[in-house]
Amino acid sequence: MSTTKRVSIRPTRNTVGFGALLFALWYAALSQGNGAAYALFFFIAALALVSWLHARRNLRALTLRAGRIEAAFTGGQVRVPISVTAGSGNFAAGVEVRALSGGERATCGFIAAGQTANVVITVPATVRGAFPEIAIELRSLWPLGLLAARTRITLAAPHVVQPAPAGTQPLPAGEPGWRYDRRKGRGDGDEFAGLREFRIGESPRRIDWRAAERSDKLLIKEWEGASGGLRWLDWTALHVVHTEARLAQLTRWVLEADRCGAPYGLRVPGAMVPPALGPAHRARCLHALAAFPGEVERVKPPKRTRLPEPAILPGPFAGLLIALALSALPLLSTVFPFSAAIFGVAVLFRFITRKRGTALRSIPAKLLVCGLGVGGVLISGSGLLGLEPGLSLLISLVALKTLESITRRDFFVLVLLTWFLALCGLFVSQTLAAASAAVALCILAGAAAAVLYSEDRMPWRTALKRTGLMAAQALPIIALFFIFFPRIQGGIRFSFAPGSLGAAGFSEDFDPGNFAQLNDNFDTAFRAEFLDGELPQPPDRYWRGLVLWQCNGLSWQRGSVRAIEPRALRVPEGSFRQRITLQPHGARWLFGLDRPLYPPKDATLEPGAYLQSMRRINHSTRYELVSHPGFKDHLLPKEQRAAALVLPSGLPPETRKLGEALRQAGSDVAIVASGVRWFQAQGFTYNLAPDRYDGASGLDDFLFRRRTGFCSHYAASFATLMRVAGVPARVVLGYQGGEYNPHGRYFLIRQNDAHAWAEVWLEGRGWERVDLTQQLAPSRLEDGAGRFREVAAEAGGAGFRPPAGLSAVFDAARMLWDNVNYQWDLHVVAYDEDAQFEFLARTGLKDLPRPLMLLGIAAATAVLLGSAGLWLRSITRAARDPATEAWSRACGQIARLTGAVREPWEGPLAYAGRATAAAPDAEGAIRTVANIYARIRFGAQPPSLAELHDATERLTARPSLTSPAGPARSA
Amino acid sequence: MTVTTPGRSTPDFRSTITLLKQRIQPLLDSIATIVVGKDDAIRLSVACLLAHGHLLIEDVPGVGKTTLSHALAKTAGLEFRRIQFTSDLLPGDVIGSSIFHREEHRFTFHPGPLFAQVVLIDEINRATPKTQSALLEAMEERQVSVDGTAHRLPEPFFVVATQNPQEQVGTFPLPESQLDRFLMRVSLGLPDRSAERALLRGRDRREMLSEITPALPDGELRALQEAVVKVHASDALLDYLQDLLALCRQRHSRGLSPRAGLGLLRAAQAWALIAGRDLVLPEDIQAVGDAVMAHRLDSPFDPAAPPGRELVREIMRAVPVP
Repeated sequence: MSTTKRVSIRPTRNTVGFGALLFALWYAALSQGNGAAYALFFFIAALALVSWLHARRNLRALTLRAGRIEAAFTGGQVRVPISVTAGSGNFAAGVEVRALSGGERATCGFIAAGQTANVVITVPATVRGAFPEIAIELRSLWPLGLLAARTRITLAAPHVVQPAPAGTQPLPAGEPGWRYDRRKGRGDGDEFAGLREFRIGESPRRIDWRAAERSDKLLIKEWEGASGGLRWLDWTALHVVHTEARLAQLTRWVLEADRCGAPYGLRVPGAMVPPALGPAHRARCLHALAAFPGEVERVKPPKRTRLPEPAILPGPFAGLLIALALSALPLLSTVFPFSAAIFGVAVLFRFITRKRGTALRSIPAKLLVCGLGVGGVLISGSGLLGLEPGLSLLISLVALKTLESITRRDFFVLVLLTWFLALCGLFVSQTLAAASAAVALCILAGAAAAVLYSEDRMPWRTALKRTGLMAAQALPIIALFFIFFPRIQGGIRFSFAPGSLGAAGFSEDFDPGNFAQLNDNFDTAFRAEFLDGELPQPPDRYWRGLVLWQCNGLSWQRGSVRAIEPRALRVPEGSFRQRITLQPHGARWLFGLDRPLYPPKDATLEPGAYLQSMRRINHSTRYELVSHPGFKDHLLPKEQRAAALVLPSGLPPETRKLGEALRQAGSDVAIVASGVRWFQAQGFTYNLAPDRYDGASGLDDFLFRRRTGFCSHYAASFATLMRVAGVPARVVLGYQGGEYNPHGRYFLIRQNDAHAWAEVWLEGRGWERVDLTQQLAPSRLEDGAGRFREVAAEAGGAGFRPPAGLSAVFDAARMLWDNVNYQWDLHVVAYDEDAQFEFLARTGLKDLPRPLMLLGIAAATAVLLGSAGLWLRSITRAARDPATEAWSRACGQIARLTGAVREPWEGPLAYAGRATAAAPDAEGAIRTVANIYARIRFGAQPPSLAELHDATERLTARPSLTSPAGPARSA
Repeated sequence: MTVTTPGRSTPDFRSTITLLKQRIQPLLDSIATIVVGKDDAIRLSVACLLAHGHLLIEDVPGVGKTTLSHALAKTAGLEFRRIQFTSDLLPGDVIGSSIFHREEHRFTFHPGPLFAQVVLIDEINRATPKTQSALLEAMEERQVSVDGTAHRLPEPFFVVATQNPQEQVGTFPLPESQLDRFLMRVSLGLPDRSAERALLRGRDRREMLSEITPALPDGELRALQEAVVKVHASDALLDYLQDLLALCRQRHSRGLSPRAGLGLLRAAQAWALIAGRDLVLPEDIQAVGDAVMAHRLDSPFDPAAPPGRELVREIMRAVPVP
C-alpha cells in the first residue's frame, strides 16, 4: 500500500495551443478596448492557473494497493491488479495507471471521494527474479487537458518472474517403484498398480511381506501416477554451461514433469526442493529457479508502440457542442447568414451523429467546406477585412473544425474555440447579462473537458460544481489582473456598422415621424451621476443632445454653421459636475445636462453648444463634464444669427401670414410671448401617433387644421414661426427628465425620454428655452418612472406589468438591478487605459515602472494561488476508515499469534478459519474478532467499534504461539 | 406472495434465520446420505434452488448427477421428472403439444414432461438448438406458450441440466444466452477413495432414493426462498460485488450481465442463509463465485483466453475485500 504525495505538472501540446489562444484573446480585447472582453480574457487565464492546483490535487492522496500477482515467465507479461482509493474529500478523475517500465496502462475514469477502483495493468517481464515492488506512474490530463499531472510511487507488489522454459535436453527418466507418501509429501503415484517381482539391487524395505508370504517370491507393490516414477531435476545433470540456459532448461523440465503427473524434486546449487506434486510444489520449484542468484540477463522488452490519440466521447461532446452553439449565438446576427447557416448545420449534424462518431475525414470534403465558407464571405463583397467578414470567416472555420473533430486534441481545440467565440460575443453586447452568459458558457465548456478527461465517468453535476469552484477561486486573480495589468492601446480597431447596434438613437435628419418610434423604446440611453451630490431641479432636467439649424418647415436638419461656439471663461456658481455613462449608439453625439460648458476629452463643443465625440460610440463610454442650467450667452456670433433666421423656400402661406402677424407684437420678448399664447389658445391635442404631415403644406396642416402632435411637432413649428416673425430660433434634440436611482445616486435616461424643444435668442437674455410641450401637455413631462409605467401600460403588455400593490417592490428591484448594471458599465466595461491611469494616479502607483508592476502582479498571483492551493491541500487527505484501521490492527494481532497473514482478498471469516487452523488454542478469541468486524462492515445492525477494540485488546494480551521464525504466507 | 425489500433485516429476522437453518440442515444431511462426499456440490445445488435459479451440472457420466437432482427433488418434497435429450427430440416432446379432441371438436393441450417441479434434462447439449431454445421461455418466464396460449409451469420450477464436457462429437454447445439463464454450473467430480468405498459398501442408491422422505414440510421451500432476499447485503458488500463485476468487464470481452450480477448476489444470500447468517459476507460471494461466474466467462472460441474458472480465480484474488 502506498499513497501518492508529490505531483509534478508538465505542459503538453495542448498548453501550446492554449498559449496561442491567450494571445488571440488578449489581442482581441485590446483592439476593441473593451473592458468586458478584458475581464473574460483574464477569467480564462486565471481559470487555467487555478486548473493547475486542481490537476495537482487530483493525483494527491491516492492510495494504491496491489492484489495478488500470478507468476509470469520472462518475455511475457506480469498482470498486476491494482486498487486505487481516492482520498477523503477528494475525488480522482481520469487517472491513468501504468508501470514505469512499460506495459499496458489502465485508466480509472472517476473515483468518488473515499471510493476504490480496481484495474489491472501489465508489466513486461524482462528480468527473472523475485521482486518486492513495482514502480508505478500515475498520469492525468484532468480537469481541462491543459496540463499533465504526474506522480510516481513505488508500490509493494511482490511478484515472481520465472525464467522462460527452453532447452532441448529430454526430461530425465523417473526412478520407478518409489512409493508416494501423502503425509510426507513425496513418492510417486498414489494408485495401486499391482505386484511385481523384487529385483536385485532394490531396497528390501519396499518388499510387500504380506503378499510375499502368500506366494513363494519376493514381491514389490507398484504404485502409479500418470507416468513414471520419481524424478530428480538436477543442476549437475545438465549439458549446457551458461547459467541462464541451465535455468531455462530446468524450468522446462519442471513444467514437463508437472504435466507428467509424476513426483519430482529440484536440486540447484544452494537450494533443494524435496520431491512432491501439485501446483504449490511447481510454484516452489519455479520460485527457486527465478530467485537463483547470479547475474541476470534482461530480455528485450517488447517495443513500445505509440498509442493512437483516443477518440471523443459522445456525452461530453454533446455538452461542448451546446456550449459552442450558445457562445456563437450573439454573433449570428452580425455574421453573414450564409456562414451562420454553415455553422448551424455543422453543429446540428455533429450533435445528431455524436454517438456514431461520424466526422468529416476526406481532405477534398474538408476543402469543399472550407471553400464554401471563404467563398461565401468573398461573394458578399465586403472584402475580408472588417469585423463582419472576419467573424463570418471565423464561424465558418469553427464549423469546419466541428465537422472534422475526431480525437481528444480536436475536442480541446473546440473548447478553446468556444472560449474565443464567447469573447467575440462581448464585442456585440457588453451588458452584465451578456458577460455572465459568456462566463457561464466558458464554465460549461470547461466542465465538458473535465467530463471527457474522466472518460465520461464523472457526473455532470460534479464537473459543473468543480469548474464553478475553479471559477470562484479564479475571481481574486481576475480582479488583480483586471485592475493592474497594464492596458495598452493599439491593434486594429474593427468597427461595427451602426445598424448592427440595437439603439440607434436619433438621426441627423430630424423627422417627427421617426422620432416617435423612440417612445416605445425602453432601452437605456445613458446614465448621469452628479459628482458634487447636488441634483438639478426637475424643471432643469433637460439633457442636450443635438442642435438643428436648418429649417424645412416641420422637419429640420443639422445644417452646417461655420461659427465657433463661445465658451464660458470660468465655471460659474451653481454648475453641475456630472459623469455620463453612455450606451453605444454607433453615432457620435454625446449628451449632457443643458447646457454643457466645456467638451470632455476627445470631443468638441459644436455650434449650438452641443457635444460631439471624435469617434463613433461603439462601446459603453464614460465621460465627465460641467453644465450650468442657467447659463447665459452674451453675444450671438454673426454667422449663428444668420443661420438662425434662414427660412425654408417653400413656406406655406398661412404660416407665413401668422408669423408676420406675430411680428407686429413689437419686441422679441413680446413676439415669443404672443406666439406661446397663440399656441395655448388653439386647443392643440397631444398625440404620439398622429398621421403624417407630408409635403410643403404639412406645417399649415398641423397649425391650422389637425392640430394634433407631440413635442417635436411643437418645437419644429414654433421655431419656424419664430424665424418668420424675425426671432432667431433653433430646435434642440435631447432627453428630458429621467429616473433617479437612489441606490446608485444617478439618473437613468431611457430612449423614450427623448424630447425636442425650441430655443430663441432674446437680446440680453441669450438663448432661451421654449418648451411648448410643458405648456400644452404638462402631464407628459412628469417624473420619469411614472411615465415609464404609463407608457408600458399603454403599450399593452409590451413590458412586464406587476400586480397592483407589488409595484413598489417591483420598482425597487428594477432600480437595484439597473444600479448593478450601471456599476458594471462604470467600473468594468468603461475601465480602459484612461480609467486605469486615473486609478493608478489616485492610488499613487502611477510612477511605478512597468516591469516592477508586472513583478508585483506575479507575486500577488503567486500568493493568491498558493493560498488557494493550501486550502485545497488541507481538505485532501488519504482516505481513512476507522473500522478498516481497527480491523487491520486486529489482523496484525492475529498474524502475530498464528503466523497467518491476511491476504487482501480474504474475507474476515475465511481468514479467521485459516488462522485458527494454525493456532487452535486462540480459536475463540480470533473468531470473535472476525465476527464483530463482519457485523460492523456487512451487518444490518452493526455493533460499535468499541467492541472490536475490546476484542482486539484480548488478543493482544495473549502470548505469541508461533516461533519468531516468521509467519508463513499460505497460498 | 409478500413483497419484501432486499437487503433489509429486522432483529427477529436473526432468530428466524436460526430456525431456517435448522430446517435446511436435515435437507443437506438427507441428500448427503445418498450422494456421498460431495458436500460442496450439494450445498451449491440447494443454494441454487433457494435462489430461484437453474442448475447446470457438467461432468462425465456416472458420477451421480441424476442421483443428486433426484435426491434434491425428493428431500425438498418436489415432483421430479427426467428428460433425456437426443438430437431428434422436438420442442413439442418437451413442453407438450395440442392434440385434436374428436368428441369435443377442439384442440386440447397435453402438457409435456417439462410440467414438473424439478426437471432433470440429461445431456442438454445433445438436442438441437431449436429444442434448447424452447427451454428458454420456460426457464426465464416460468411458463410455456403453445398455440398462443401461455401455460404456467408449476411453482417452484427448477431445471437441472447435465452435459458431458468431454464428448464434443454430435453435440450442440449451449449458446451464451442460454448459459446465462443457468444460475450455476457445478461439477461433481470423481469421489475420493473413502467416499467411493462408502459408495461400494452402501446399498443400492435407487433403493435408498425410493425410501427417503421429504425433509422439508409443505410450503417451507417457499418460505426459505422468500427469506433469501431478506438476507442483509450491506453497501460495503455491494461495493465489493460491483468491483468484481467491473473487473470482469475489464478482463473479459463480454464480462458479466446485470442478470449475472443479481444472480451472484442471490446465490451469495442463499449461501449465507444455508450457513445460518443474516448477512452476506465476501466469503459467500467467493464460495459461489466459481459456480455462478465461470460458465459465463468461458471463451470457447478464443484459444488464447483463459478458461472461465481460472479467470474467476484471478478476479477473486485481485479484488480486495473491504
